[in-house]
Amino acid sequence: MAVHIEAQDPRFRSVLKGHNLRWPASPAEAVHSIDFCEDSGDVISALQRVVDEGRRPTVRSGGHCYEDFVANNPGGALLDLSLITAGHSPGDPGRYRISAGQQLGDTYLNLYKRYGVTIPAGSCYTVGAGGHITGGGYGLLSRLHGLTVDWLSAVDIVTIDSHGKALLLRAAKSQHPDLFRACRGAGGGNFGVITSYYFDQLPNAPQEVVTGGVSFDWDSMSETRFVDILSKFGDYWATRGKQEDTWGLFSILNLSHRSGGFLHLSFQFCNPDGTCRDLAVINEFLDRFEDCGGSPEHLSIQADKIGPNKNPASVPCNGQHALSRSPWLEATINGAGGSSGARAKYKSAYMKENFTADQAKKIYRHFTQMDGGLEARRPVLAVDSFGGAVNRRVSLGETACFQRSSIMKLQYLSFWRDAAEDAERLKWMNDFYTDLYSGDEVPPRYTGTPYPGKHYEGCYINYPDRDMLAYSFWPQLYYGDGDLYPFLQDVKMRYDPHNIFHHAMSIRPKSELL
Amino acid sequence: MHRRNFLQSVSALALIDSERARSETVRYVGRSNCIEVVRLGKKIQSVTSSSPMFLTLSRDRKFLFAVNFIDNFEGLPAGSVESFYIQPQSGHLTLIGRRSLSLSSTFPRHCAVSPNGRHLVVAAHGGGTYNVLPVDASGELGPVMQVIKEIGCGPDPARQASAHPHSVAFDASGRFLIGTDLGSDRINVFRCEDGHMVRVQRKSTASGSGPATIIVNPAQPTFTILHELKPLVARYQLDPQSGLIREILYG
Repeated sequence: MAVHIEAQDPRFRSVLKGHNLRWPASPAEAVHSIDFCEDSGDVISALQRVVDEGRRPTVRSGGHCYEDFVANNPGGALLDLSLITAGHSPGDPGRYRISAGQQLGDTYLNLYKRYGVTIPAGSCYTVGAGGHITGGGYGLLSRLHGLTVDWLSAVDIVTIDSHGKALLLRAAKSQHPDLFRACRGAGGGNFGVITSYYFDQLPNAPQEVVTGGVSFDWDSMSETRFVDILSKFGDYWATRGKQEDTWGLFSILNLSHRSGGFLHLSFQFCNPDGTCRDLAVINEFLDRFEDCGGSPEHLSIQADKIGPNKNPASVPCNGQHALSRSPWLEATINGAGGSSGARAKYKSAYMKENFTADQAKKIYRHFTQMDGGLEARRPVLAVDSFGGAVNRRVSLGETACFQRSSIMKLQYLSFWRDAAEDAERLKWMNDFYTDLYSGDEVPPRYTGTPYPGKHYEGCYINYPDRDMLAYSFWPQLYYGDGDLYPFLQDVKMRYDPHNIFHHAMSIRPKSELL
Repeated sequence: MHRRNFLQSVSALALIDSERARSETVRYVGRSNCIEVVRLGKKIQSVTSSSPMFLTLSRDRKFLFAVNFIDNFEGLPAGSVESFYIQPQSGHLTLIGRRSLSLSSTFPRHCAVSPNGRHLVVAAHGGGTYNVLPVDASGELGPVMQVIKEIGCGPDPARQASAHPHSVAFDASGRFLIGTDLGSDRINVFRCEDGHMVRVQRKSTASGSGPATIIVNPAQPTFTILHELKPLVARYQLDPQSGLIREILYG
């Protein structure tokens, strides 16, 4: 039996919010009840009760949804899956099982200690597998091993059929193949409640990695140098970074306002065989930035934060660049962000080509504008390396992730504490983003967005952004303008005919009236 | 129903009369993009409104409510409702405000004002839901305070693939709300507890009949249902204490 709590329970307030403290936006937006489920059976009975009561269920694993899709559910029911953490058991359809409630950090530890394998998923320890994997599941090893859904072989998912009955389905290539494909990247909260992911095969985890970084001082920064740094970073992924011997290199260029003092380039590297015996690739990469005035730093790599490397197991390497060598597991667990809760806003964009000089200048302008002391509140732009194994064409028609041609993936991030800052924070980020995608390279009708085309490849559904709802073509930003979105709508009609699972950016039923 | 059919039918559906001073009848007509105010056969005003599928008046005739038959409001998959102030002498309309329905409550097509005027209940055809919104003394609608999602289907694959609440009406006592569900061949009865709806009964109608229009008898605890998918008319008796309904068979 799921543990069912309502507002009068002393636990209720403590577990109501996810990591983005903006939601629920008000007590009136909050759920009526929370059910902590421990297995698929709990999910079936809790979901059946919620549906019979005519209420809306939302689903949470790690509670990291960037938008309000889960926590804002007025009068509804929150199904919390964080207690569903069972590992592999006899009779499973795959060799490895990841349960929906497992946190990524625990998943890495479990898979490594039991089998020596891993998933190429995200870098934040406390993100839950449930939402992360079905949205694609991307991270520091994705250039080397692709997206997590590229490895997925089956899921267990509780759906609601046309008669309103909760059913546990196992979806794989051989059964419910369309639902299976949809679960491989369309994102959470769309078709049902995924309780387990199964994998026949997973890649071996690297033995060791080197990490490090370079900081660029804003005091001595010029527009020319700023453009040069971005251009060199982007050029690498557009050219040399496409060659397979570099796929073990993952890097983030963190751009932020000059009031922050520094720009940071950080990286993690191993050879394709999971060792660091040959450091030629990483040295060659860092050589590119030799004349950019950077200072080598022993940095750990995280998507949302760059900090001094505090990994006790890391050992500085000798050589001209600041490289620290450590066992992969240590780097992955100690480097993983915990991301304590804050008010937050995010955006994303996939890039198929390098930054143009005009774009780099625009970014420079936004990050050098002074704003009466408020400039430090401007967002951070994290430019992640992408491509490599992700762009293996074989995955294109089998998953629901269409972004298979990009070389960089951008994440816009802003964190704050005071609700009074909400409006200006959101506006700044939206203005910045809109300006960046209003150049000549964006067709006029898609201006303000990284619409899929020659330069861009849309946005990442695991970094959802409600601002995109202002565009009627928002589904094409996340799912492309090919046949994927209509396919997902068809799956929606077949497996969730009552649209039980919905949020602001869920797959929308085809309109029966148009 | 296709959009074209809807647009042809909307003016007939969304037409109500309001008795004015000196027995002058003011008529409100829903068009595809506006509500027309007509007096003595002459259009005296046209106010913007998006697909006002259904119009109704508050019991004191101070306010007019319009249901917007749409599936996207401000970028979100939801319909909306509007309230208007009625100028006492002229019958002219002034928009008070517009409220989104709950997520996925699309294509609303009917609504009912509670007898005390404090709540508006909306039947959303597309999302299969009923939404309850509070109405304040100035006629302003508050955010949706309750959502009831119906699940069900019927034998007609084109019209009954999922639940489609069609109409809502309060019974003569005002204590109970009746809702027809065209998609699942059901009549739902809710007890209204200060605007909070508590289900009393789910009554199935003939399979594939598509219960639609509700006509409440103002003098007796009975009501009539017109079905849309089969040529059926049925009368029901409502127990004033329990709210349970039973069909009255014609002798």
